[in-house]
Amino acid sequence: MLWTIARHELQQIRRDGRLRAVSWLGLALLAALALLGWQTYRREAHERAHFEAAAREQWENQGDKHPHRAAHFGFYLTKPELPLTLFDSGIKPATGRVLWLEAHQRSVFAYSPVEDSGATGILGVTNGAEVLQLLGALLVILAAYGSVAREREEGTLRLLLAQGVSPGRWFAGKCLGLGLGLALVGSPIALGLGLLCWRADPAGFGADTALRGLGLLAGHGIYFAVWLVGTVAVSAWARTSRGALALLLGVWVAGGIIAPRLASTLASLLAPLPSLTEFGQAQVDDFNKGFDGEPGYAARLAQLEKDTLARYNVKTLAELPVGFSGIRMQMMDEFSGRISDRHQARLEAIYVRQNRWHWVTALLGPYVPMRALSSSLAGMDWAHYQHFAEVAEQYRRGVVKSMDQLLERELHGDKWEISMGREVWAQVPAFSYTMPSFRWAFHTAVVPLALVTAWLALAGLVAWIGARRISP
Amino acid sequence: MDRREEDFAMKPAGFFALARWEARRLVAERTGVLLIALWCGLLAVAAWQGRAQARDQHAQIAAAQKADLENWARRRALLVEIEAGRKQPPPFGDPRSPTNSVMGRGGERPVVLTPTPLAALSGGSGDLAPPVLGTGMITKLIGPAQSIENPANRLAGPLDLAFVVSALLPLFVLALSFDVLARERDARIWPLLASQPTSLRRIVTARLAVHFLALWLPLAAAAWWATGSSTGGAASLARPAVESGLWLAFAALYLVLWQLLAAVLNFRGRSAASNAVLLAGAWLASVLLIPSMVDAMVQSVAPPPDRREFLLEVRGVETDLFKRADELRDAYYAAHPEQRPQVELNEYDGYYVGNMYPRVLAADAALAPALARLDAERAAQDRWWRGLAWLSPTLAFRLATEKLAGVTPLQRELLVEHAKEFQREMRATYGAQVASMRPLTAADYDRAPRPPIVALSLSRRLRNAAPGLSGIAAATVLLGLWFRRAQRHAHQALATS
Repeated sequence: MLWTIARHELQQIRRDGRLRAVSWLGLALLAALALLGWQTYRREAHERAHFEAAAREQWENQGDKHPHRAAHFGFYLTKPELPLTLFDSGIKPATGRVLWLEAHQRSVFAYSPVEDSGATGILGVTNGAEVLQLLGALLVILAAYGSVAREREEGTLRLLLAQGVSPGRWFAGKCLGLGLGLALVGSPIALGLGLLCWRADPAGFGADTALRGLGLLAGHGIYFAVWLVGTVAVSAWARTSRGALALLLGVWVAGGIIAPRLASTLASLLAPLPSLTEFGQAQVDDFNKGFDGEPGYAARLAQLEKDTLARYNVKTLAELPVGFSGIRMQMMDEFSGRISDRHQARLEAIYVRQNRWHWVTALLGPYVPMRALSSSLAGMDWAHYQHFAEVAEQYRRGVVKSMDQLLERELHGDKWEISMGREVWAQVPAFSYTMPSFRWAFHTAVVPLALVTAWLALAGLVAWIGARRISP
Repeated sequence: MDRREEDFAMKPAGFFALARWEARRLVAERTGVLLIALWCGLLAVAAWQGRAQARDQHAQIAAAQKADLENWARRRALLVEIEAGRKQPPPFGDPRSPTNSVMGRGGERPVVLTPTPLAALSGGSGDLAPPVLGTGMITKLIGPAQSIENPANRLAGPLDLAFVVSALLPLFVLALSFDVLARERDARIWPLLASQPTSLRRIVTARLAVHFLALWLPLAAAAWWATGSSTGGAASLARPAVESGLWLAFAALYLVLWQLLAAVLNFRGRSAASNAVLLAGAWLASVLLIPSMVDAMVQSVAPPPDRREFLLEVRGVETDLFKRADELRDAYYAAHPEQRPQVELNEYDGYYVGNMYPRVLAADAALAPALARLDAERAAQDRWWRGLAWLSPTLAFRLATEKLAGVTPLQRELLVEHAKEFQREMRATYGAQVASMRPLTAADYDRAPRPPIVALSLSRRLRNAAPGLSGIAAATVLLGLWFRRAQRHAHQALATS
């Protein structure tokens, strides 16, 4: 019986011309964006490799100069990407493509694509994941909104119930049929995208990436199950198929179109960030005046001079057997590093509060948490960017410290000027980075995963009650 | 029926009477009230967001200008005190030293791009386009925009009024007007209409006018409030009122365009459900599908300039110039022998004056072609966007309103242009003094050039937005003609039914 109902539902889907048209349109758009993603991924991977090699070559051949000026010349780094980026580019369009590591300053991502984009705030979707999540959900709504309500309108529901068909089994059969239809459309898409990711970078497509890919598949499975079960449930509750469609489209617009922007607006209004000037000025103030009862830079410098003179048992800085400028720079960088950590932690705390507002808008629909889950598994969410930036920051501090130590070692007294060359720059170890594992990514995505699962539970509950009270 | 009653019965219903009936129907139906309430709620959030963003920009400008004036006055006062022998110069902060005071970061002054009143309606690039650019003699004006905004927020973009109108307004039109005439057809009272002397056009126009007012009046209130209060009472209300009036006129045109589409579909004689599906399809195409395809196309044919390649070029030039620093310094002083320092410089000043300053001047000249190439690539991308925007009214509206508000990245370049101009002025004023390390006096402080306050004129913005505006206007006129034709057909169909 269950299979008969499911088969009947599948036939209905197959015959629906509007559904076919929307499916083909959605598939065409998905294919176009996936191919564009593939092209972009391959081009960017090549450009990244070229950029990093050239930047390293420029570092080593920057010429003879003072080590501190070399530290200001700095390094450029780019965040590596997984092949899954071609499906979900996450926050990449809004985040800088390069990190500049320089003396005294915490590295921040710079040059985001949106900065150079001729059109801002484009409404359209820009990667395959968004197409799948937005248009896929719409497709499910169009396929299933009339599944129960239409049978009620046409009087066939009365006939079926009169024949003794259990409403629960009939409902389950509907869901099964629609689910099979969805799987038939979704499987080749998933397989195609998987192959495309693998072909884009066979060497980079390891077990961890495969696990992330499977995670994406499972996550999207849950997401579409939410829409499927939810749509059939609404169809069971609604008096007319038109009413069901209106309600479902309302939820789709609210959750998919309005919620992301409402989230960012509420986040910035209710958990505001300081302005860039305020953020910078607060660090300058901490540097000059000190913080948490600790003295500011001038007092620290005076103490350092006193301590250093005592340590080397000399009366003036000029008599020191080591370069005091190196010691001073180490103290300055260590102090400004602590200030920077302190303010960065405050900034991140505001980001966390802002992200909570994003989770609040998940009440409008499962799209916002699904988008977060997907970009997290693709390695393109803020947590991944932050992980990379933190590793790069530690590397920056190591390089700057090694330059400062050179000054301490090679200079004497209170001299500043010294010149060094390629043999020194070449000794600085190259930056290396390993992407966090699937397990790590999974942990960062627990909240959105829980929210999508909660939506599934809610849809299941509404469906269960709806199935029990089905009446002609 | 006496003659008076017959006259009354045959008299066509007046436009206002029809409109009053439609208004009553909207109020009586819970859905109508709910829709209008939802619309007002969205407008309130968007207006609040726009006002907050614009006020924040004005506050940033005021804070930067205040800090600059205080900083300049404090250093001048300190200089007077030092010259009078009442104070000692602080290390690395001597107001008489050109390197300490006018050359480095301490000498940077705020060049300002005043947000237009319409910036409260279009979020644009947000904090990637700050209204203040600190500019000094050696400031690198080719650097990236500094930002600490949460990337998740930036990716989604703000819920500004431009978004609410461009993407969501058509949905409200759809919800209110999808059955503007089809409701009679579905209720099978269509033949009754034929027996009435009131024309279909009048019925539809009256109903649409009510829908128009229900959507446009709250929008007008939100836009006027957001633009009028965004400057924090610092400026007159006339300019915001005029500009937001223009913006609202354009929004009205866009609203009418979607209403005409709904009316035409209704005249075609389909059921309300079919009209809803067709209008939803048009919305989906205009808001999601076409902009996505245009975006994909523009990314392929005119991708954004490769900033990494540009960075490598910049560093290549800088490295080369650094290696040739002595040669550049000698060439500079050979060309300006009168500026050769007359005193022996310490290590710090020697580096900044003898090495850095001539190098910065040479770097600006050497990087000019690369920057011009970058600008050309961005302009080419903009041309593609403009060329393809007519494919979707939503895209055309969005691009045109952003240009009208002066918030597109290309328009923000005006700030950089003026900053470059100001940098040239600073160099002309203090260049010789820096190169010769002649100490600054109070008179030197008094002749400091004033940092410019740039404003994008309305006429310039209108010129930028003209293609999009005229595209929407043309589409509305075409739909208006189709509307007339469709209603004539509907009349004929009604007469023969």
